[in-house]
Amino acid sequence: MPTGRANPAPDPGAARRAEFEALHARLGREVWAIAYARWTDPDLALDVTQEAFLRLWKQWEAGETIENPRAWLLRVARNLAEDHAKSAFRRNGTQPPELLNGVRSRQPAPAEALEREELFAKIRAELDGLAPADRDILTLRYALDYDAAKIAETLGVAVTAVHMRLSRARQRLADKLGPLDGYSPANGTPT
Amino acid sequence: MTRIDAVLTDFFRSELPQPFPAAPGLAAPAAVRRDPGRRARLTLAASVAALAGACWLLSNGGGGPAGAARPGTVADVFQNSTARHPGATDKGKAKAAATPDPMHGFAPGALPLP
Repeated sequence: MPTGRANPAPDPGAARRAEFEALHARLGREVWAIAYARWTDPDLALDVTQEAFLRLWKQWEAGETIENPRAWLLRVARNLAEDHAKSAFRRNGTQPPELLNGVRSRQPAPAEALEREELFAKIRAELDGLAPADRDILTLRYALDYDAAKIAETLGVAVTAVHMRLSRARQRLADKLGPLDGYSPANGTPT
Repeated sequence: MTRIDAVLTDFFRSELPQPFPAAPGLAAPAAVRRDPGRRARLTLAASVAALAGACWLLSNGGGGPAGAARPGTVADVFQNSTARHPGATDKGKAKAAATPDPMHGFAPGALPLP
């Protein structure tokens, strides 16, 4: 006679929640990169990322079937970033205030860190002058270490186009930033 | 890797939030952690309840017949207070018996109207 308790029925909500978390772990950075490339603002990109995932969750809760969550999330993130661009323009003019500030306020840092911040502020300013497609490619390449094939697959463009745009954007940034002999890379970054 | 690649890698990785946040909505369940003082508070509440129950039992005679307080207990003091003193009760009854009936001499029925 069995005395043990029967196994509880699997909770569909918990399974869906686990699937959602796995999706976030797998795609969160990619969605962030797409949102970041629009505004070069990491905090705003994070807000957009979380909002995109929340909307996906609501779609699931409403019983909607999303065939390709990755494409859906990237599209929603891009649209949210664009919507922010429009609302920011209405509120602040041409640029949101956080982008009008030069060097971002951070904790007091030693001289080397200060030089790095100045260089990063310069990069940020130069990135704003690039085409959004170039920023997409640069962000995926350098923030997520994607190769050209994966970038092409993510953005839905040809690999040759990725190579061409990446090379051109790198060269333009190198020209604008000037010699970088005094730059000491962060720990673990090979040169 | 060229120097511009190193600079750009440093830049973009410094922009990427580290650690990357969890999925939205996860913060709430994670924040609702078990209260570490909950067990101690429950123990204290149970102790106080047990103490109060013990006091109540003792004050009620601790197993004697219901309503009968043992001499010297708090309940005994209340039960033998002036309001319930047999002498006081007898005085009240005697006073009620001595008071004449206010309806004495009236015929029962409706009063005649002028």
